[in-house]
Amino acid sequence: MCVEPSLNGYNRKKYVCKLVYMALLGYEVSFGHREAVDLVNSTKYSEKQIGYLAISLLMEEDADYGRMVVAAMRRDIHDTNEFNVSLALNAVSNICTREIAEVLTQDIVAQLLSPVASMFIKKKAALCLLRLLRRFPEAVNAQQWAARVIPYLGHRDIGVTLSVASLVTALAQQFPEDTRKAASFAVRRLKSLVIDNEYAAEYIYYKVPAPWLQIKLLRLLQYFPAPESPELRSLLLSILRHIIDVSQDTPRELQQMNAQYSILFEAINLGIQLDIDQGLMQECAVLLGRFITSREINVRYLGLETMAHLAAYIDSLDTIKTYQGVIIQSLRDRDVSVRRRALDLLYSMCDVSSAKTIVSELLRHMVVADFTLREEMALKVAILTEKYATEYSWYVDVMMRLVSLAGDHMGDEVWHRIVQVILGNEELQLYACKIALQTLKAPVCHESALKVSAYVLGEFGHLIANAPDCAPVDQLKALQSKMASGSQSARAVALTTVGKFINLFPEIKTLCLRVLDRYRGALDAELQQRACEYYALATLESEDLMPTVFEEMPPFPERRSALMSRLLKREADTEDQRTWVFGGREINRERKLQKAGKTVEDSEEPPVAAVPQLLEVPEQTRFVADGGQTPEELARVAKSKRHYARLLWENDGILYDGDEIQVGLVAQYKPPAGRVGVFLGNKSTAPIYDISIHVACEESSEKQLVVQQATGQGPLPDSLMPLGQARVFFDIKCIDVFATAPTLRIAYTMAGAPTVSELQMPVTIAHFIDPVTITVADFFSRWKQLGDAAIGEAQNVLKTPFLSTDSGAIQWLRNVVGGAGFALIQGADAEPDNIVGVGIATTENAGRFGCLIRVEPKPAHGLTR
Amino acid sequence: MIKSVLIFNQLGKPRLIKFYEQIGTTLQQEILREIHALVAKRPDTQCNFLEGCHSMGTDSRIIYRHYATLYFVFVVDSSESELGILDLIQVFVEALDRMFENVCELDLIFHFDEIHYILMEVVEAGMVIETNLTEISRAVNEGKQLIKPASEHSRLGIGALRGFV
Repeated sequence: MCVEPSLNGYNRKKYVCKLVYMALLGYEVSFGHREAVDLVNSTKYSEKQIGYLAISLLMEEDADYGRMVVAAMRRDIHDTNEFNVSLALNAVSNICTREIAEVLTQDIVAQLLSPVASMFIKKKAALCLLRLLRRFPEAVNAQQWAARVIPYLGHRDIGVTLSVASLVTALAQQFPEDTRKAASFAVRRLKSLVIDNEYAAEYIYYKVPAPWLQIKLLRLLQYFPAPESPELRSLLLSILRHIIDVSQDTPRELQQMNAQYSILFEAINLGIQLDIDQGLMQECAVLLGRFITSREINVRYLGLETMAHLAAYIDSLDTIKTYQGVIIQSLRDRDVSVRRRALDLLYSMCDVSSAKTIVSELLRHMVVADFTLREEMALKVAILTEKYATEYSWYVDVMMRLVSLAGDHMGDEVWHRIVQVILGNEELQLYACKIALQTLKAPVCHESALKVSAYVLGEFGHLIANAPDCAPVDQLKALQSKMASGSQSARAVALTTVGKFINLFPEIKTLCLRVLDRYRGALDAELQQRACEYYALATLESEDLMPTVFEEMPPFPERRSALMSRLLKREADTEDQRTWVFGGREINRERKLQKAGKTVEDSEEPPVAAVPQLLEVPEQTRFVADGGQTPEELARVAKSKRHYARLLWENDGILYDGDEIQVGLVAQYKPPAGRVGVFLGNKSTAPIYDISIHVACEESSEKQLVVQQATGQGPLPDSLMPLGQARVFFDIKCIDVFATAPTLRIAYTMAGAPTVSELQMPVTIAHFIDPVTITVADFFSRWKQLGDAAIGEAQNVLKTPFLSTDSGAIQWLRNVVGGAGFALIQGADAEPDNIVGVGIATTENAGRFGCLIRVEPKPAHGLTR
Repeated sequence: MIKSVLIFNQLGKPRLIKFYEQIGTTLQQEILREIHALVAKRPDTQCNFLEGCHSMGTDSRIIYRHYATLYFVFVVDSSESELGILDLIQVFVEALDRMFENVCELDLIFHFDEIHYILMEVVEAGMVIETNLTEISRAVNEGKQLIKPASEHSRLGIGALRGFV
């Protein structure tokens, strides 16, 4: 563009303005930027304004005139006219290059903290900092000023508080330690807003006081753990209660309802997150139940969403289950957004008892669901079915229907997973074969179904070969009939199956060879290669190569399901750290643990159960590898986690040590039974009242482990004086192998504030294992036996970084294995450091069975096998 | 945070495009088209929330309101409260209404720069900054006052066209 040198300010402004409009219409405007910079440098406000607008809309981050813009911004930030300052701050938050972050952060912080700057500038400065913090966290030195910003949460000007709240929310996610104080400021500000009604009249939005600030603060609090001081706790509780009470009656006007409900939903989310009071949560569930039947569609949508959050945390799903019918109805809502939320909720609220209904509803709905929704639906059905399957036949039936119905809309993970599960579970195989053959014989067979069926028959076809209509010839014919219509990849799988048939059923070798022969001339390279190779193998002189190549596949190593990762991946990818995900409680708890900053190795303990009916070794114990961390870094939760870990292999000690109470345990085990004494001590200076101590088992292990309060002991005292102690004994009976440790729930009231602590009881299957001494040779013959049968074996590689640094670690490992009830066999292994142990687990129903363990520490690599 | 604020009419013609992240013009237009296609087919009886704008990443929700010929669309991530944003759109529109007295699509065309200034007072850096209508209009009006004595024309050149329409 040719620019006249004598362009006056007005015309320059006019032309730049036209450029901005052209950009709005979607034309790339890559010229004239310098004119905008000239405008920025002008002294007239009107020109400056247009200049900054143009720059914030048009400028690329790597523009060569960036330096000039930064200089202009710096000058304007220090200007005495607050409107110029405001323009500059606005431009900073829009452009935000690294250079700006490095040069201007200090100036902006000064504006925010300055005693003379007006509210108008302060709030802009706060958001400007937020933008810089998000873009270049390393360039802004947030830790230097974070603590000084927090008190502004209590500022009387709502605009300032609002923007500071946004800033602190971001800070809280990056520096939880430095911003801890913010929680109390936020709670107090909420109180003044909600309960004391202190606010300027202009901030009332349709009769609701400053809804945005309320939402922001409620949201901010979700990033902190529940406040520890009882005073704050009860304050927060009363705020939540107040908000919920206010919302009991439905407001008439639409805008008011929106504002009020937006606060309510956020309050419920906070309540769920902090897990403060289960009674309150049940009440919320009822309230939400009313919302999801509301006529107002936005409320319905949010009701479903919030309920999904609730279902992911609440202890008892009963209240939610009463709405199951309504929720399923919502799956047929006219609005796709509502349908999606209904799906999420169903996924979250599913448990063993409702799994069948929900899964079958989802399958029914799959046929008519939107294409965009089907993939997610298929994934969720697959995960739920696997997680809650109680009968093998049900699992196979559902999965087969799933691949037939939704095969087009899902990734390969689903059918891969089915094959993995079938391969890993012997009981499934026979039934799966029957279904696979049926599927192939049906008039229409979906391509993914064809793959699964072909694979299953190829592996286990011999199991049903003697049944009527299931002879090898029938199997081959069924396969052949569907092969022609299958896709290239499906045909490839089918060809492999034909190859396997040759090995399984020598009697139909000629038929199989004929099929292979036909594909030897296939146009597709992959098919041709497979056919040729299998044909050559089968016609080879030597007989032993074939069985080796087509040997039965070993079961897949147990690992995290690819389905889960895929589902989580869909939800990742966000700047904001989500505080929860859809799904059951376990997954959210796990996230919480990870957040506590601990390296919790979720490990399947490597013992080997020598009973055939236990295919998947469910002995899941959490070992905490906590070497090399300084105690200062560990939060209280983490400390209790360590106590827990120690109690896993020691019979008495402290489980929890807090400011107010201390919990100690004494345990005695006589497999299959045990007795655990819980000691509760009051460490504070005030008496505590209303004590109750309960032990609850996870649903998954309810049937395997029975915990009862021992008979013949006095009731708990009503109150506990400072330094006093109370105790309860529990009888534990191990019915079957169980996976999750029971939860100890201690509730008490102190200074008027009810408190509930949930602790994991250090009771694992390992406590029901008795050491047995056997000879070295005996051990290895049994070990080998297991290896050959390839059953009941679980192997795990744990990363234990402290091994390489700590020479005492080997001894520590020995203690762990010994404490877990295994008898150590010295010198059994060639490698001196390896630890080998034997034990017998005793359970009431499953009987007694031996367990072998072998731990191979590799100090050099920091790994333990 | 709020990722983007868009105003377009029923035909998908943009009236305001504001992104709070650096995004190229071509992609911006693509997103506009995608969102228009999603939003325009929804009757007013359906809810104001929507997912599925793939160009904006998986963690994005569309929250929109439909006023006469215009759609006001906010694209936000999961850290924002849906109803809160819905209220915010209402506040933004009410602020526009105060500035232009019965705002209509033409106002947005002829004062496309002023819309930006008003939006600046409501949302900055993807975060809500002020929700008090009095404060918003005060800030915008005082900014305008600064222009008047300095400039001989009260509006920009294109603003003068208004009399002919």
